[in-house]
Amino acid sequence: MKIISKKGPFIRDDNSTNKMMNNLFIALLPIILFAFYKNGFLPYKNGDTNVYGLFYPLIFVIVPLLTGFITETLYAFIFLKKRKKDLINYTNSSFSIFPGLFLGLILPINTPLAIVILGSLFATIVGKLVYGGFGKNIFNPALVGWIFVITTYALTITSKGGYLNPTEIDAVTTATPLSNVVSGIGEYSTKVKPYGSLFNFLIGTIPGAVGETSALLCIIGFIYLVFKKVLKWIIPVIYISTVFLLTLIIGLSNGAGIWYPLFQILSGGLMFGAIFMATDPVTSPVTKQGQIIYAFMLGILTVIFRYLTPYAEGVALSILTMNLLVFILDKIGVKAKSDKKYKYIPLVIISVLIVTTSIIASLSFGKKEKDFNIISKEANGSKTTYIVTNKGYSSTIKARIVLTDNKVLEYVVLEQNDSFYKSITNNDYLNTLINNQYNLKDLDTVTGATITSSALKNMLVNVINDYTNNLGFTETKPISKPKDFEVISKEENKNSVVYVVTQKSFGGKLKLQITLTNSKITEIEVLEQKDSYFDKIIDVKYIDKLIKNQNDLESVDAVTGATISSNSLKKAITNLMKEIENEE
Amino acid sequence: MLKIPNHKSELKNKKIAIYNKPEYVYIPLVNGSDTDITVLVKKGDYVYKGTHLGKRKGNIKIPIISTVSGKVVDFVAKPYMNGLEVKCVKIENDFKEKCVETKNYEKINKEAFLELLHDNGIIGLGGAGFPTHIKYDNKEIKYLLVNAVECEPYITADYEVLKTHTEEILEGIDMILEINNIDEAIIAVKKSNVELIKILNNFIGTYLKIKIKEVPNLYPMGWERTLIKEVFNETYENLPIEKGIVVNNVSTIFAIYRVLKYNEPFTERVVTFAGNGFKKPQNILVKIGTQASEVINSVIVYKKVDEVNFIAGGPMMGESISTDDLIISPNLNSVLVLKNTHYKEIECLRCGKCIDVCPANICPVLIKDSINNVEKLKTLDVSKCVSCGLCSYICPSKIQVREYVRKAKEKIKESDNNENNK
Amino acid sequence: MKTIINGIKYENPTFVLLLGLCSALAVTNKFETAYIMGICVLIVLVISNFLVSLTRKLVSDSIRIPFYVMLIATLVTCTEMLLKHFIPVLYETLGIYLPLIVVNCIVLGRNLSVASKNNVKTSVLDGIGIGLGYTLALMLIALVREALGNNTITLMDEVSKITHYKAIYKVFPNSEVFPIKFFVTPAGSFLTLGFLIAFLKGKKYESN
Repeated sequence: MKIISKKGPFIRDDNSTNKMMNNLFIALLPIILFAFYKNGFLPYKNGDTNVYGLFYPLIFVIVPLLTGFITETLYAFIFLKKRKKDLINYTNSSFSIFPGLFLGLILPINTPLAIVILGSLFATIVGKLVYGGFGKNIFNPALVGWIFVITTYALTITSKGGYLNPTEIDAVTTATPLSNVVSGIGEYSTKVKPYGSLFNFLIGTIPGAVGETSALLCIIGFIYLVFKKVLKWIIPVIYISTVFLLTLIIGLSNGAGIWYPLFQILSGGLMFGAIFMATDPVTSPVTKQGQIIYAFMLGILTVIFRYLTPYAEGVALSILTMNLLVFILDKIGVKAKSDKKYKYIPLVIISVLIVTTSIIASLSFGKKEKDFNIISKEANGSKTTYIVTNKGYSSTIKARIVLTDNKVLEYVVLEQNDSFYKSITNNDYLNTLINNQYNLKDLDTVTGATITSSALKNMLVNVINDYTNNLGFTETKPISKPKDFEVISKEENKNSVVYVVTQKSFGGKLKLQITLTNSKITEIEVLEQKDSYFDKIIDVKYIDKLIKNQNDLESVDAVTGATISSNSLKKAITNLMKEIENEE
Repeated sequence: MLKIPNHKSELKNKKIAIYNKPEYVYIPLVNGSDTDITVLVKKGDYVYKGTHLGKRKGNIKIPIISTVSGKVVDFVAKPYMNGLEVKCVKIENDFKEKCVETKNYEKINKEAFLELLHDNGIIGLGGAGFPTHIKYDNKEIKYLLVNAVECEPYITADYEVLKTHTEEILEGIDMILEINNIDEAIIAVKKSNVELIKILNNFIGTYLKIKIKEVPNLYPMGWERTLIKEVFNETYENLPIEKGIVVNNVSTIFAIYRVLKYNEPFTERVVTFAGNGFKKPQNILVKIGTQASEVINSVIVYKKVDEVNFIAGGPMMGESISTDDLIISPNLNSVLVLKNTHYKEIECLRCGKCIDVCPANICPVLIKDSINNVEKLKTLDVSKCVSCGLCSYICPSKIQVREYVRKAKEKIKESDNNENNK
Repeated sequence: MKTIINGIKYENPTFVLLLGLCSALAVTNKFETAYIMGICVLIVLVISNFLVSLTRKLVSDSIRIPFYVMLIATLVTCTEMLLKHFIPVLYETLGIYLPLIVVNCIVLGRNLSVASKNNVKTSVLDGIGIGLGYTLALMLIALVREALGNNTITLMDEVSKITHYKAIYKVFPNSEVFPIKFFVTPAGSFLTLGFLIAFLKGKKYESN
């Protein structure tokens, strides 16, 4: 029997960091499975995707997890020069799977895998290893990776469908429910109904990031983790209550019912962020008072980000911001233990902030709301139908506007009672609006019916804004102007090259087939044209003249009576030659 | 404050064994942690039970008394309960149990009381070993708080003493109350000690001034500050006497009783020998100065285990001793032998649990962070720490948090010394 | 020779002395602007070191700093004018950072610490060394940033007005991942600089 001397205490609690992390993983399992079910299994059942798509959500979560793990192991092997047993001990206690796992759960499903891997590398290296590994990082590594991916690759992801999984891409036109916040308070029918009911929000069958949607599973995970004493439970409770309180005030002062704050806390990944990301033990305060202030500030910042900035997702940014301030909060927390002053003054300041924020946020709506209102928004296939109202001269004008792809198709006024509406119909103003949909700002109003016409214009502008803001990211793509000139196809034969091009012309697009032999145009064939006076062009054999003088097009006069068509043909040739030159 | 596993049930129904006839005793020349003792005997002297072998220098005066009658054989160094070795007086026991001659008091008033306590070397038996007569040397004492909480796991010494000698202890309390003019005495016991409370309630009937208060089963409920907060809802700066309260351990009260009633010096006490390294763990009545190895080998017997920790005191606040030659000192309440467990220490998780459980309301993890920055340490209230050990107990990363706080205390002391020297 | 190596390796202004970082991070968007800027600083540094060390015994202590600043300002203005005449496009690109060479800590710092205390030969060699170190450092940062962030390496684009030779190389095949726009943003510049300092300094410590 050997007597070993060591420092006490000689009994220790059963709990250990390993157990806590295992419990965290167990709490995440239902969420991963639900993500698999909603984004893989359901689309597969519906026939919207193949077998690869069925397992894709699981791959999407496992790939960054493995990347993080391998990165940290390599780091330990190369830089810390650990070998064999040391290496195994290190990997067991560095918990490297979590940044990758969380990153996989909060990214949109349409992020290409290569970018996910890059994001996971960034998250592990810049978010964790740079600071010294486990326990020493300041920022939540998953959020660091998230913000890198989203700011660098927003357009790439949106162009592939953003947050929508294969089933949702056809059914829903807006990306995430929260994007609606940017355009106004709205009503239950515009915000919630398109996705079902609030129950859907709770269960999670709404569009969103891979793992963020199911509030119910997050709450179940939360209860499990509190029971197993893993979490800092004060933070999610206060965070979510603050957001609820603030949005309740904002909603009530703008006429929305109790559904509004519920909708706010159940969307946008708030539940997931508050329960799993804000409570990350390494990056949140250690003292009780510090945690309380942290959670309150998170709630206030999230509301500020959601309402007063064009960013729709406020959770990630607010957590990252507060991570910066954790060390100050801990200082306050220490002082608060002995000095009552430090306990109460921060709470007073926070109450003031809460009141101020709710006032400012409610007011910011009031302005937008007064004139313009979206009553309903419905999507059928590629067409979106808006029913909107705007204050007119002596009545409220109600109209129906239909958009598809990047164009306004239809603009019909359903109800109006303005005194001078006749001028609008006389001047065919509605059609003018549709025709000038790309530069509405410069369009004049109808004399004699200024207010009515500016109201009509305002409705169209706001609808277009809402339509193009539906992506949920910060960048807004303007309705792109169709190009004047475009090369559709190029075919290389033995000794000639055949181009099919389009060129904007008088009544629409001209589609031409231009053949070049030995870098000279030998033939131009008109495939499509919508110009009214094109026969004049054919009569005078204008095209042959152009081919003959292709090196000096300026010398060829335009055909009288078909000036624009002639110029368009000339422009087509010039544009094509320029394009060929650029290629070389 | 935290509820931690008790490990007390296996000893609860065993009677107190007796091993109070050792061949040699080694009386440690130390009081609490002060080894600056004037030696009053030399080799070859014959001493009685109660003879003053040495006395403490400095302001706090208390004698060290012999616990057997016999010849002073030698002065040797033996392991003491703080892990270090102290000089001990080795006395050969002649088994005659002769007591030293003492003054006879007709009526014991406060002065006589204090003198008796001093001459018989009564010190606090619950932990620190503070001389009891100094505690009572105050004019206004309103309450006497009898600490029968015994919050550390495994230890049941006080529990057994209180259960076995209930009537005598109550009589002792009554005597103390009268002599010192104290209004009320409160015995603090854990809520979960149901049988003990029943027994106390049986005998308490005639004593109007003694009350029983049940306290929750948390660690460290037995600490002065938390106990007074729990019982009286009062806080104090340095000493409980600021609020007119004197706190005494139950075993100390029993020792005082023997002094007052029979004029008997304090020579033996009940010590818990427990832990999963013993074959027959039990509470034993031993003479102060006995070697632990002697008691264990004859009564308790070791189990066959590879590696053990030999602990003087409780598992939370006790010290690990490198040999089993440990000397039973007056304020040692238990000897534990526990199987050694290796805990792998990993990086701090910053979970904040150590701050949640700390009964002194300080932040151990932040102290650990700024261990090298003495200026920062001075702002973190390090001196409030009582080394209860809960921070190390609860840490999921198995970090020795308490050691960092101890180191911080040393660094601050060093820095203060440097400043004073300038 | 040793002085020159010293300037490049052991006292590299960007990675070791951490001087003149703002202009370093601003012009490293493209490889071309980086080495042009480096060359400009090199020229200014060498000439100013030369002149300062020539006149070091003539200038009294109290007037030293304004005199050197005037010297550097004159040199930079000459460089500016030359550049504006011969490669106006580059002049536009470098923008405000060309006049900022005047207050670039490297130039004034080296003037004061080395040139005003040593003979002409040492000063000039030191100027060459530090200038080369600066240029190489800038080229390294720009290489990383442009290759990762823009998927190109521009050797000669604007300079082609003189040399009539364009050299823009594509680095990675077109894919969704590259270019990583992050690296041409200011955030990316700081990150690149940090990592490069870590790698280069780390090697030095390891070899010790």
